Amino acid sequence: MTDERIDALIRRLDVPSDPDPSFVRTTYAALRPRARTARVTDASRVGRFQRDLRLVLSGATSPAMPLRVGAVGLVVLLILAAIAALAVVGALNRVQPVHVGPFAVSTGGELHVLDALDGSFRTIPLGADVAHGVSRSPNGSLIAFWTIGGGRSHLYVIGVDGEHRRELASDRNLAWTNGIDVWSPDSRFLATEVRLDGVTARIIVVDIATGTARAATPPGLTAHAPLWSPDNRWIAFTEEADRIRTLAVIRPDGSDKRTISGEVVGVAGPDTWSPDGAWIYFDSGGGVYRANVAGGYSQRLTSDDLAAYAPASSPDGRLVAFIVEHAHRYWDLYVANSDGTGAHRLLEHAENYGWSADGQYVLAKWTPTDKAGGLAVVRPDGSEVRVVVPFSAECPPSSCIDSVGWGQPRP
Amino acid sequence: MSAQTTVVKGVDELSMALADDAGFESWYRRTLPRVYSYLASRTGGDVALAEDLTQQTFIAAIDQRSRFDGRSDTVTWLCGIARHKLADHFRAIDRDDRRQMRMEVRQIELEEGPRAGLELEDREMIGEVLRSLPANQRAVLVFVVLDDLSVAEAARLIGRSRGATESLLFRARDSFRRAYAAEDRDD
Repeated sequence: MTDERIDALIRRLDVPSDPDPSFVRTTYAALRPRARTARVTDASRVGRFQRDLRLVLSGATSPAMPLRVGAVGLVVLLILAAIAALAVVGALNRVQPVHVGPFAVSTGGELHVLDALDGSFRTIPLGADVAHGVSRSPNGSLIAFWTIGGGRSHLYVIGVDGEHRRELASDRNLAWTNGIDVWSPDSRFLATEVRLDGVTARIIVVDIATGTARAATPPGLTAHAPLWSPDNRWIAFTEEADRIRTLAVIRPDGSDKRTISGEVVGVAGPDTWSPDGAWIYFDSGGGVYRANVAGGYSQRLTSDDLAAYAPASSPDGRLVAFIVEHAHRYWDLYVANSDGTGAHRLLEHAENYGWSADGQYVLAKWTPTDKAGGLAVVRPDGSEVRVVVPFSAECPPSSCIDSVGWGQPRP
Repeated sequence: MSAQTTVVKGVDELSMALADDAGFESWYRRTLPRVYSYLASRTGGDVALAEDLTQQTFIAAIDQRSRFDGRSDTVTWLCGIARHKLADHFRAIDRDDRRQMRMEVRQIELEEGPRAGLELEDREMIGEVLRSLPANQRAVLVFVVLDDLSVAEAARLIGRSRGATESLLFRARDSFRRAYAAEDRDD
C-alpha cells in the first residue's frame, strides 16, 4: 500500500458529523454562564480598553470609529501603555533575582542562553545546525546539545558564552534517543542514552575534557534514562528485560551493577537522587516512589488517589516536587515532604522541570487557562511565581521550548 | 474588502456573539457542529473525546476572546484552538504512554492481506486503525494528512524537530499500513 493510498484512506475520515443533541444542549448550558461573565467583563471600562487596544494593535480602524476619536484614543492608549510599562518595570525591580545561573534553552532548534538574574537573553549562533536535547553543566560554564546530520547524531559542547564549540564522541556511531543528557555533579562527564553502533538503549559516558566516550552498559543490557549520583560514583538507570523495567545502579566503568527497586516493576526512570545518595526518586504506574540504594527496596510516597509522576528531590533533601495528572488532560505541580507526607498542590497546570541549585525555586512549564504562562519559577511555598520565558502566539506552549537545562536533574 | 475591514468584521462577529444570550446561542449553534466535525474526524470517531475537546475549545475561546484578532472568521479561529487542544491531548497521551513505558506492540503480519475491497475501507475501520496507533503517530497523521500542514508546521505543533517529525510520519504511515492490513485480515 502506497503512502498516497494511506493518505487517501485517512482523508475518508474528514466528513461532517452531527453532534449528539443532548451534548449540544448540555454544553450550551455550561457555556452560557461563562459567556455572560465575559459579557459583563467586556462591558467594563477595562474590558473596553482591552478591546480597543486589540483593535489598535491589529492595525484596524473600525468604521464606527471617527478618525479624530481614533487618533485621540490611540494617544491615550499609548500613554496608558507607557504608565503600565513603568509599573511593570518597577514591579520587576522589586522582586528578588533568581540565583541559579543561566538557563540553556532550545526553541525551534535555536540555542539561547537566558540569565534570570539580569534578564539578559542571547542566541548562540549555530550556523545551519538545529539544536536538540540541550543540557547545561552544573558549574554553569558549558552547554551540551545534539544535532542530526549525515545519517547520525552529533553531540556537541559549547561555552555558555557561545565560544569553543567542539564535538564529543565524534569517533563513535551514535544516534540520540530523545532522552535527557545528564552531567556528573562535578561537570566532568556526561551520561546519555544512545543507540550505539546500531544497538539500542546503551548508556555511554563522555569525558568532556578529552571528548572520548565509552559504554557504561554492556550491549546485551537494555538501559534507559541515566542519572548520576551526587558523589559522581554511580549511575542510576532503568533496566529493561522482557518488558519489565526495574531501577538499577552501575559504576561509570560498567561494574557493580545491581537492582535496587525491590518489588516495584514498570519503573519509568530514575528522576533524582536524594542529596545524601541514600534514595532515588522515581515513578511507576502513576505513583511516586523512592528506592533505597543500599537496601534495594522501594517505598511508595503518594496515595492511590493521585496519579503522580516525575518526582524531583529538593537539593537539601527535605522536599519532593512531582506532578499529578488530571483525566489525561493536564498536570498540576505538587510538593510534599521527602517521605511523601504533606502532599499539596503548588501550581495548577504546571509540569515539573526540577529544582534550582539553591533550592529556592522549582522550574515549571506553566500553562494556566487564564493567562499566557510560560517557563516559570515557583517558590516551594507558593509565595512567588515568575515567568522567565513567556509563551505567546509566536512561542506557544506546545512547541516553544524543545529542551531546557539549568544544571540540575530534570525529571 | 480591505484587510482592515476584515479584521473589524471578525472582531465584531465575536463581540456580537457575546453581546446577549440570543447572539451567543445563534453563534454557538452555527459554529459548534463545524468544530465538532473537525474534532470527530481527527479523533478517529471517538465521540466522547470529540465532545470533550469541543467543550474545551469553546471554553478556551470564551476565556481567551481577547486573543482573537479578527483576521479569520470565528470558525477558523475555533478550529485553530481545537487543533491545539487536539495536539495537547496527543501529547498528554504520548507522555502517559512513555511514562507508563507501555511496550505493547501489535502483533501483526507485515504483508498485506489479499482482500482490500472497498467494503472494508469504511470510516469506522479506518478510525479504528487510526485509534490503534500510538498517540504521537496519530497526531502527525492527523495534522499532516487531514489538516494539510507541512511537516515543519506539524513539528511545531507537536513539539518535535522537523527531522524527528519526518521520521515519525514515516513510521506512522508504516504502522497504519500494517494495522490496516491486519484489520483487513481479521474481518
